Amino acid sequence: MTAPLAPAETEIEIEEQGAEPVGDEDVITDRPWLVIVWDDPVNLMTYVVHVFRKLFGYSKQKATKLMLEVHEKGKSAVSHGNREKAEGDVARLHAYGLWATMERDTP
Amino acid sequence: MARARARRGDVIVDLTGAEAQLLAGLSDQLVPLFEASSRGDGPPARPGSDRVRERLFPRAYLDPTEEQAEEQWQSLVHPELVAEKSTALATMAANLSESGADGVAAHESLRLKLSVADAEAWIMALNDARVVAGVTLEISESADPPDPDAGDPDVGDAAEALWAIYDMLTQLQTALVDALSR
Repeated sequence: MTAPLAPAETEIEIEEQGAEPVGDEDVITDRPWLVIVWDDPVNLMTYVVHVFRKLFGYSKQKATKLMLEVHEKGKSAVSHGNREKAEGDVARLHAYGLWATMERDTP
Repeated sequence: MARARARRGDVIVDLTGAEAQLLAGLSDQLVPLFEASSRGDGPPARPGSDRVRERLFPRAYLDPTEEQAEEQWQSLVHPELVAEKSTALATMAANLSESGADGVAAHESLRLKLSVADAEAWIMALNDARVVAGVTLEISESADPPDPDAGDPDVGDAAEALWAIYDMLTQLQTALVDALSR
């Protein structure tokens, strides 16, 4: 279920080449999705770093930065992409017991 | 005291007999809880189980306009999550059984040699067990654990026992994550 990390921009370029947006709905559809991890009092900080590294292949430094953002700010966007990729990432994070949701990126 | 360390590509785990038996019993306790979460239309199986279910199997979409996408996602993903979480617990139970945990007295010690893949399953299973205990105990960022030695009247025997289990699970998960991160 884990999708490889693909730059969201690639997906957007393809969609834009295929059909020109004609209204707000199309513009909204093209916006990538963000995968948000929320702070949780149970999950260990070292465990969260481990999961970010394992699922997304992040360096220890980047995974630690994201974990600290979750801990200190309450949430962090840990990955992004099209809807299918975001759904896959959320599912993998739930499998590891992290509290994750997805939402459209804001312009 | 539960310990774990990396050694030559494996993970060595040292447990007391009591700890091993507690861990071996987690699958029988938690898998029915996971499976009950698939039948979400009935009353809670026990007090607080709705909160446990919501935490173990949260929504993917917070946006209410995405309700259809949420339902489709849940129908696809939820059975896989239940299976994956159950498999992680079964792996831990099998590792313990193969190491003779059943025949170890509570005060004796048990040493297991886990593959990295099995240790990975253990940290997932331990996290789910900690989530269930944590939600039941209403653990929060701001609240310190109650201190039964200080005569905290809010701590009953059952809660005190669950706190002890939670602490043991935390200690073992911490050690395993540290071993896997080396």
